[in-house]
Amino acid sequence: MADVNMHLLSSNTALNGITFKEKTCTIGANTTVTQIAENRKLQTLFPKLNQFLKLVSSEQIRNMGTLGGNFVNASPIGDMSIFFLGLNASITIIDTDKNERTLAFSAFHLDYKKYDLAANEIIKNIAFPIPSSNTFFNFEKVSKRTHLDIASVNSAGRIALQDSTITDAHFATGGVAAVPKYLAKTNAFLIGKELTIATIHAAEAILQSEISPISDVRGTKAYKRLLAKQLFFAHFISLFPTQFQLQNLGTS
Amino acid sequence: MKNIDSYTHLRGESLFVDDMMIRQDALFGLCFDSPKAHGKITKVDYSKAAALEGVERIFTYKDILGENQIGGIIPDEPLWAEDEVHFWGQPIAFIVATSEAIAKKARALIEIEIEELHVITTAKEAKEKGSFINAPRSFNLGNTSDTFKNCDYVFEGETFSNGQEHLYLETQGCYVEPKENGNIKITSSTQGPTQVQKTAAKVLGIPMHRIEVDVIRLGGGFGGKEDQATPWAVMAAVAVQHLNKPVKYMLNRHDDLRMTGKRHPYSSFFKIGLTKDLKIQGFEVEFLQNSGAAADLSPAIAERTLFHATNSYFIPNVKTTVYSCKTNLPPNTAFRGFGGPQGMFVIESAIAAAADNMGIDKATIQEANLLVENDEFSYGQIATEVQATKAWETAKEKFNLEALQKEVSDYNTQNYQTKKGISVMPIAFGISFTNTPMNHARALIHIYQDGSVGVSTGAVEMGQSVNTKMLQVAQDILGISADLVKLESTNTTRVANTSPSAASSTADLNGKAVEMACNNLIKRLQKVASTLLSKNIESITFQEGAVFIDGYKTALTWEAVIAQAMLERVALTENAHYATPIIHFDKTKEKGHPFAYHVYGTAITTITLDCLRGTYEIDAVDIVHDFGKSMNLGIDIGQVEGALAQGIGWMTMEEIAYDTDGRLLSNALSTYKVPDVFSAAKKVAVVPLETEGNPMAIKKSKAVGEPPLMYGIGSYFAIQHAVKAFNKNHKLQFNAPFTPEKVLMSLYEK
Ligand SMILES: Cc1cc2nc3c(=O)[nH]c(=O)nc-3n(C[C@H](O)[C@H](O)[C@H](O)COP(=O)(O)OP(=O)(O)OC[C@H]3O[C@@H](n4cnc5c(N)ncnc54)[C@H](O)[C@@H]3O)c2cc1C
Repeated sequence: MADVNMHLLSSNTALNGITFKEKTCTIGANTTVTQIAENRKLQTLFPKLNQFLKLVSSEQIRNMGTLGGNFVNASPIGDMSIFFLGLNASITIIDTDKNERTLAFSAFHLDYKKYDLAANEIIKNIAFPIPSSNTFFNFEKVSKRTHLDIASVNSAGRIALQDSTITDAHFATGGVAAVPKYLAKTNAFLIGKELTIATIHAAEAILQSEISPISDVRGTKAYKRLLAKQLFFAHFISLFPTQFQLQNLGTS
Repeated sequence: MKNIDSYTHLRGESLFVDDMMIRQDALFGLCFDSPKAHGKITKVDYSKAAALEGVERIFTYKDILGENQIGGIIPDEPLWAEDEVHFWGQPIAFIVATSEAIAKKARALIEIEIEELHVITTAKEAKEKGSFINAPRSFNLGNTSDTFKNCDYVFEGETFSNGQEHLYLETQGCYVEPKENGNIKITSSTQGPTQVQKTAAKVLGIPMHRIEVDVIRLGGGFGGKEDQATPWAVMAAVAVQHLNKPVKYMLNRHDDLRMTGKRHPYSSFFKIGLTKDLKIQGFEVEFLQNSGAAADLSPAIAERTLFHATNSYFIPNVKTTVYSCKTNLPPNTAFRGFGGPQGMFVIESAIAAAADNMGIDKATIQEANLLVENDEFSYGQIATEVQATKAWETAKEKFNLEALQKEVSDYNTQNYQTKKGISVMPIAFGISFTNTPMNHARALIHIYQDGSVGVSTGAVEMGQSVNTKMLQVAQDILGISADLVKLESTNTTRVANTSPSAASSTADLNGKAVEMACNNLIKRLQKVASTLLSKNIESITFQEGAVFIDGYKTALTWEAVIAQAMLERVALTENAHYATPIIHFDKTKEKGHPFAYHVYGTAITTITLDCLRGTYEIDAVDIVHDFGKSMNLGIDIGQVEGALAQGIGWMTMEEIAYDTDGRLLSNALSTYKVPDVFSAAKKVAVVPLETEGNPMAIKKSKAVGEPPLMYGIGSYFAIQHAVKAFNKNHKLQFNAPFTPEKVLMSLYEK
């Protein structure tokens, strides 16, 4: 490192800031996890924001680590990657000539540690649709140690309901594929379904078909599959506790 | 009294090896280690590395003028590999350069070819293949095979406890300086300065007196620097011998994790027999110790496993055997508890298996078998001043065990997604080096002419506060204030031929020596004071910096007595030698009286399990501990809390992983997790057991370093209890650590 020329992104102020415009929240790529956690508006939108982000690394790392760094670090269990996949986000990329392009965040990570970014490009920001009152979001993470540890499996999900019908669903799970996994098939299946135990069980079966965990130091394949299931259930148990409990959901 | 280092620690002013002022011409060392776990070295090409600007020289076994041998107990470990490597991370060469960064670059330029040989990573495979460090050892009491025939219940099972990384905050390191006439001074972060001196002398081919080893303090050792601080200091010393320039070598965390040994993993097979009255009548165990590629301290650790195989229970018929299995892992080494925890995990597992099969509570069996006065241990020592029952009863009463148990079972009937678990963990841990000849220490005390005092001992300060205790001993006997006493560094030229600071016995051994030296000095000073005051010697005592006659303070100050002693040419320096009395052990019979005394205690652990996610929290650990008469309760409770956290880590989240090629997978702090403040027990209560204390302990204050680590074993069984409460189908496993992964898989086991 000492021998290579470095180009410091942190001095690029165009990458800072959290803005809310109409129905979209845009967060600059240089934003740290702490800046997100301390943002009043985001706290209102996500009442459990602090609780979620406390699971991400440690105070010191949260004060330093940026979204851009987390996305480009491209770990399949990157917490912020999963978090924003679950928010159905899109990212804007800018090149050295100031040309910009925007793509669905779920299209950014291509394969293990491979992502859609040319040598002359950097991530400018990430944006997500501001949730409405019938939209629910949850984040889950299990690691060997609760704090300052990298997940065995993590998961985030956003679900919108019209009465009891699912109108929109964006679940993502980390640590179960070569990339932070946006569960496209599971999400597609859920839309238009009634939110019932049977739906969740059927969706979980699809989830299992979409993931391909490998055994490594963070856990065996079998464990990660089981955990992916449990955390998927955990979203529903946390968001709709009167309707779903481990008793009725989890012992199948 | 507070730890005397607390002020400088807090301000970051305490000195460690890396803080040493180094000479301007100092060079920096770096070890080149094996990238394979087992094989023949067919070629090493150092030419590119050696040609790099700033590389002074690269040392290999060919540069050793003495013996290429660092094995302590058994001479089976070269400093640098010659034509074969036996573990991944085995030192092969030592690069010396003008900076650490250059040395690192050079290391990457070394080209090596290894013809790979079969790699053994588990003790089980080593046993099958007959790969051992030494002959197995067995302790026997009574007759187990006849006993099992008469038992109402007999259960067999298998256990595994994994290794553990020491994770001292300060990594291994040293700074070595040439002195005149070929003499060498080594500053090392070692628990065993004499071991460093002796080994360096052997490898360099020079007498011990040419090598001075100095230790200021350690940023943690936990056993990891008992034997394994030695190679780095010796490597640097070899370089200094050739270059006649200082060499510094601090391992970075990755190198330290990769190249050093850890707590021994054990695979064990037990058989336990009980009669209807719940008395354990017979117990057999075969322990397979994963020793790694060389002996290091493994044989001694294996021995201690046998000593603690029955924990704090009396079992009349015992047969235990331990095999030190030679594998292709870095030589495993001392770690707080020294094989004792591995032994205790097996008996606790056996009791848990029995209780589960019999459908009763584990604690009922534990309680029915606690040691009582005059019981015989399997190694022949008769238990005296036994506190097992008293500790258990006190814990039961103070913490209201029955109410806790009821709370847990009520909680479990009322809750589905979360479950609670509870366990009781009694301990009995023997104090002394099990190798009797090591139980000695010396102290050298100078009273300077102004009345201030310097104390040197063989004890190494590593955060356990032994220096504070030494100061307390000296201050008490000399009757002066703490600021008049200074603890010197541990230095082989002041106190020679020391045993390492280990086996929980550092404060006892060195403290007794300080006590003896101070008493001798006081005798001389009483005489001086007696003449000055014309009072008889017996009436004189030293307290509060003054002379007392028959308990009454006089105007004669400590300083005045010292000044007079100088005029009278009285010796104000004293050296004393202490060797633990009574202890002995006959290895041919495997019987004797190896321990000065035992430390007892009981811990109650309660945990809450999230059955949806497979995660758990330790709610509370309530401990009654036998401190004897603690000479410093603040420090001793700190030791209990720290040891407990380390024990919990070993049983819950600290998971060493090697792949089948023998490469360490948990090779960074991102993959190896120790408990942090959030995952330590949410509440720890430590109640001292009221006892008379033991005269074999310094100031009757019992050794405290290792015993409380084993309270952590309780966390395993508390988690197991909660898992079983959720999933009746779960077949008990004894496979530590009980990680969230194993928990979740057990919760949903069909
Ligand atoms: C102790 C520790 C604990 C950690 N725990 C967690 C955890 O719990 N969960 C988790 O998800 N991660 C964790 N991490 C990883 C860490 O959070 C991420 O690596 C962090 O977010 C990176 O942010 P950074 O700003 O430091 O990026 P850097 O390390 O500075 O950058 C990482 C990479 O991203 C590139 N990059 C940065 N910004 C941009 C941009 N705008 N456009 C293009 N490329 C860019 C950099 O060039 C570099 O290649 C941990 C890391 C450490 C050291």
